[in-house]
Amino acid sequence: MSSIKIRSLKLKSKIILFIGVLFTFLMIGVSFFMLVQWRNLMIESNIERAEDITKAFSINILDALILSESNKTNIEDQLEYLVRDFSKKVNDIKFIAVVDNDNKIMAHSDLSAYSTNKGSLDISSNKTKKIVSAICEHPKYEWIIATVLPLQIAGKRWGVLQIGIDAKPLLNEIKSLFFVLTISTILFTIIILSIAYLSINKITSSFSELTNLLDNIDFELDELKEIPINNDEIGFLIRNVNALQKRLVNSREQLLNAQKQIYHAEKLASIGRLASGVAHEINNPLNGIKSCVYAINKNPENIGQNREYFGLISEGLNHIEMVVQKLLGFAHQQSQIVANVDISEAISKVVKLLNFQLNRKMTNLITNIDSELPTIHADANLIQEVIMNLLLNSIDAIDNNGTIKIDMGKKDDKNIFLNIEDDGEGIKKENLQIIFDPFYTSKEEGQGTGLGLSVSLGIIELHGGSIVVDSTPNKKTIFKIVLPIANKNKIRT
Amino acid sequence: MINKILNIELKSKILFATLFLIAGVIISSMFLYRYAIDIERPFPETKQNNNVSQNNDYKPIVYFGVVSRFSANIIYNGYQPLMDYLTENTPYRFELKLSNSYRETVKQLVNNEVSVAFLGSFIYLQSREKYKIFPILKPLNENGKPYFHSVLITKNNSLINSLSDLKNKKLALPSKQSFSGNWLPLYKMSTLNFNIEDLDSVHHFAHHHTVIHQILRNNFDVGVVKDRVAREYKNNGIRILDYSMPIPGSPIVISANTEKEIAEAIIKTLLNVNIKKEKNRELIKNWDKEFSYGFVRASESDYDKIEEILVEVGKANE
Repeated sequence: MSSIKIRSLKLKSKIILFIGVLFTFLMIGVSFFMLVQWRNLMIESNIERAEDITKAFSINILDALILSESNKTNIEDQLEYLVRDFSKKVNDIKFIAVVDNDNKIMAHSDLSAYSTNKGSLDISSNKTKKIVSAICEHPKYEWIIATVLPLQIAGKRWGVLQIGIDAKPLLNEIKSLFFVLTISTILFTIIILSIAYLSINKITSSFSELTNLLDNIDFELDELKEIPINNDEIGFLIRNVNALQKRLVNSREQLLNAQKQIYHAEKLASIGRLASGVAHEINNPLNGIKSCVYAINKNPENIGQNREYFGLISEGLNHIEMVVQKLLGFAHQQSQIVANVDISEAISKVVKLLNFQLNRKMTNLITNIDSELPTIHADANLIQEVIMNLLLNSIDAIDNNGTIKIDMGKKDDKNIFLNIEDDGEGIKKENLQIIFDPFYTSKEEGQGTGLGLSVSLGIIELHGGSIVVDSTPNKKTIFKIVLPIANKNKIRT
Repeated sequence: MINKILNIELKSKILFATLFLIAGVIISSMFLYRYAIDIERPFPETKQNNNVSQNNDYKPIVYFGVVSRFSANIIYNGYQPLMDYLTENTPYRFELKLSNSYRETVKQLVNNEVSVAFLGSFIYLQSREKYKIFPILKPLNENGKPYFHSVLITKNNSLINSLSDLKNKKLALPSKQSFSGNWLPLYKMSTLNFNIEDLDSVHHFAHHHTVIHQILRNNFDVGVVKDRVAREYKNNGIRILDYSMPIPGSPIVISANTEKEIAEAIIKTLLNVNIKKEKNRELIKNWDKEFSYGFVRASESDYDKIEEILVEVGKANE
């Protein structure tokens, strides 16, 4: 579940990261493009204003210069007056200079400039034949928009008019614009990314729900957990998962049915293996009964003797009835009851059924059972079937006078152990890995189904336990079972 | 456990990517800031194609006088391009020399302050005998004829429709040394038995344009200007009441001291202006409208007839 969630998280993170990076840089690009366009417009607008101011003022200057051609007035005085008057009227003018064709000052708004006797701008700009402008950082006037206009009518040229207008407000405006756009971009990006995050969250929530559905599929349930199914790709996926779940439930039901059939077949096989012992258990009292009947028939008037024989017959019949009941009880057992099971009692029942087989081989049965052993939460019949299988295998494996040892106790706080050990021929090392495989058998054909150990493994695992085997050929073989104490987990049947 | 490790790894990656993104944004913002506030713009490169004008600087200067028929800036705007043309096409550099009156230009010519001058027809007739000045060229009108007209004008909405309506009206005239300044009072009125005393007032202004402006401002009821000036205001509230007889165009005049080569250079260059050629039409676009149709040679006899007329009214040689 977690890995699926992480994959979903990775997917979401990747989408958000991709959109975040893409959108952030896109916003930066767009904002910067806007800023540059805006800045250029502001610069153009300011330059245009500076040129308009220069052109407007140049009319006065030109008139004065033309007038001086006919009136012979002192043009410098006239220009000086015009320049100083105009520079007072327009606040952001840093300087005005009228420069003649020899780059000498004819008039200047800044009287200190007369000491240099040249204009305030690079003299190369004085050669211009049309109005030109620049924005530069002047050593004296700092940031200015400098405009140079030739004072010229057709081929008649008197010089140039230089005007420097303060460009600091423009610079500050551009700086403010940058910060406003930056903050706007950040806010806008955050808003858009938040919207994107919520949208992506909504989209990926369907994935999460699907992940949870897959994680929590309960094969015991006939009805599937309902989740909202949209009419999109995810909805299509959920519908297919639902169909898959149905198929899985059906398959599991079929598997369980097959397993039940196998258990039943294996049980019948175990009964077959019990048949000789059962026959002996019945034959012995039958022979006694037969002898008693013969003695009664021979001397029916001997009431005292007959009473004793009737008692023996009754005892024999009770024994037979008990044997048959045990056999029927084992054969008809249904694996449906889950309860607290005293496993020592289960062992005792199985040992009684195998009494004849054990005695026939004069088996030395050693049981070592902890009397304080806690119960386990299990199906008693299935556990008996496992013990039956393992003990029958041990009986088959040992020779006459062989030893079978049953050890049982508490392994730790959560588990008990059950070891069944015999000193029979043992299992070859190469077969240890396959003895739990279905249909594996070391017996001759017709002697075994090959399902006993496989079924036993399935039953133990069904109860949340484990079973392992350890064998030294011709010395000993031990099956070690571990089962949880009073396992509260539901046992699926 | 593995999931936790994966989670931590993922969170670290996200954190790293976020930090990387923030760092990238900050660094790029710094660069963008520096670029954004870079407002420096140099002056455009000045093309150094001054060979022609540099050559002109070394040419001998010839001063060209102009009577004060217009204000100085109008004269510069209309006459300086013609000076430039002459400078480009002759071995001389021509420069305008303005004056404050018609007579001052004549004096400049006689005193050799100028070698050549644009005079009015009237001042030429007044001065030609006395100062030995000679016409060399006269401008053509839109019909290709070397004449102009003085015109009597009034405002569009004026009730004046003929000379008979002028009684007790205010008359604005240009310079007393111009033909337009004399045509109505000296010639036209005498032919109609209309006395100048019948008018409310008469005033002479320095320039033709001033006459029109005075009428437009309602300071005067009627005025007289050259037809070339009246046409400028044809669609701007002025209408023409009457035309003078054709007057020989205002001559370009030289004095007896003017070098012959200079006069010939001017004559040859200006006669070459053929307004039918596209190239020349572009050239004279900025010239004063009086010169828009080119020039023709002028001789003293061209002005004899008008002189006779003026003599008849007894004023021409005043």
